[in-house]
Amino acid sequence: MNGPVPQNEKAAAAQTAPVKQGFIDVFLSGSKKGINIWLHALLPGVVFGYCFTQILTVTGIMTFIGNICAPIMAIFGLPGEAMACFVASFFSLAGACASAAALAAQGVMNAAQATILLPMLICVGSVLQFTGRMLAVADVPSKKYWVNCVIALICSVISGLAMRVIV
Amino acid sequence: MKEAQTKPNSLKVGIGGYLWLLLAILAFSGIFMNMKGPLNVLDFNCWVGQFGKIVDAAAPGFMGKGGTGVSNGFLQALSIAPGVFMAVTFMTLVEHYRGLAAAQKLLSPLLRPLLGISGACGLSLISNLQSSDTSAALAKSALDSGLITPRDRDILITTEFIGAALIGRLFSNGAVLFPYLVVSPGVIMLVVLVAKFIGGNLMRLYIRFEAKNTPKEEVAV
Repeated sequence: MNGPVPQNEKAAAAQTAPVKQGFIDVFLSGSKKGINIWLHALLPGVVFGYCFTQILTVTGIMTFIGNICAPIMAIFGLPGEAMACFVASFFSLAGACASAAALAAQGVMNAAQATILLPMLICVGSVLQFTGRMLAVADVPSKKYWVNCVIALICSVISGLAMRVIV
Repeated sequence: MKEAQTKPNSLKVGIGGYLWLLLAILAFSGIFMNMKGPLNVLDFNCWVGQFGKIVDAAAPGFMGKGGTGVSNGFLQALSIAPGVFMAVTFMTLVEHYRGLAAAQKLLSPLLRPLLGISGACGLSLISNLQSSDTSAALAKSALDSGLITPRDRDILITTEFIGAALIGRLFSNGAVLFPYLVVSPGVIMLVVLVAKFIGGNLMRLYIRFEAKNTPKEEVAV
């Protein structure tokens, strides 16, 4: 029963055993992951966000949104134009952040306002995608989907107010 | 994975794991950001460094002034690339040397008082910092194996749903706003983490409210 292990079984065990990685190997594999994330997650979001903001700015829609939403966003000390980023965040966090960066680059928002906006965007970031990717996967009853979205919105408001105090 | 989940407290975390966790907290907290001397090496921004100036009296970097549209966005993305590379590399190291496992071990006993859920939710909650999909799958698997109740699952998923994959998305999607931040990314992370726990407790309240307003016969069914 406990006789010598056949050679092919030894080889199979060696193949399935986890390979111990050294510090440099882990560092390099992390860097590769970072480059992949930058290239495949951040860059497409930047293309979307800056293109979206440019279109809204040139057509005058951004000024319109700014005027309409100014009283709401003023609660957080933000310009009305930040509402466009906030709404975009429900669909894509990458696009929303890039859109906010474009507004900051244009001088529509200052550094403190960009700082207040970031956690607000993260709280509601891509919730429409996550409804399918998280709530459905975890078998959350569909009647609780809207509750989760409302709670995300409330948390976003809370984080904005907290950041206003911190900044 | 399943074994780790069924025995959440059997995860072996050595002193190294706790040291890596401490290093991660210090590096992203910004405590050492303006520190002069060798202690500055404990700050994340010290590792990333900054671009040189193209001409004297110019701002560091190659962004220029007055850029618009996707062209400006591309230069912005390029200028934050080193920060993204370094953040992901560092988090890979923290994960490899069991820093996140240490965080899980520290967090599990706190889940009952903080969220009213079982400590078995710890693995899913920690994995949520890096991946939304993995955390949802782990929550489902914990529910299926009877480690957590549907109530635990609802509270857990709401906590995870808000600002999902926080570390990954803050240092990739959010990194584009880093040049404008007036606080360290660690502060942003902390605010979102607190918001996540508030969200979990709001779901806890909703479940209590729902149970009160549901006729008893319906609950029995």
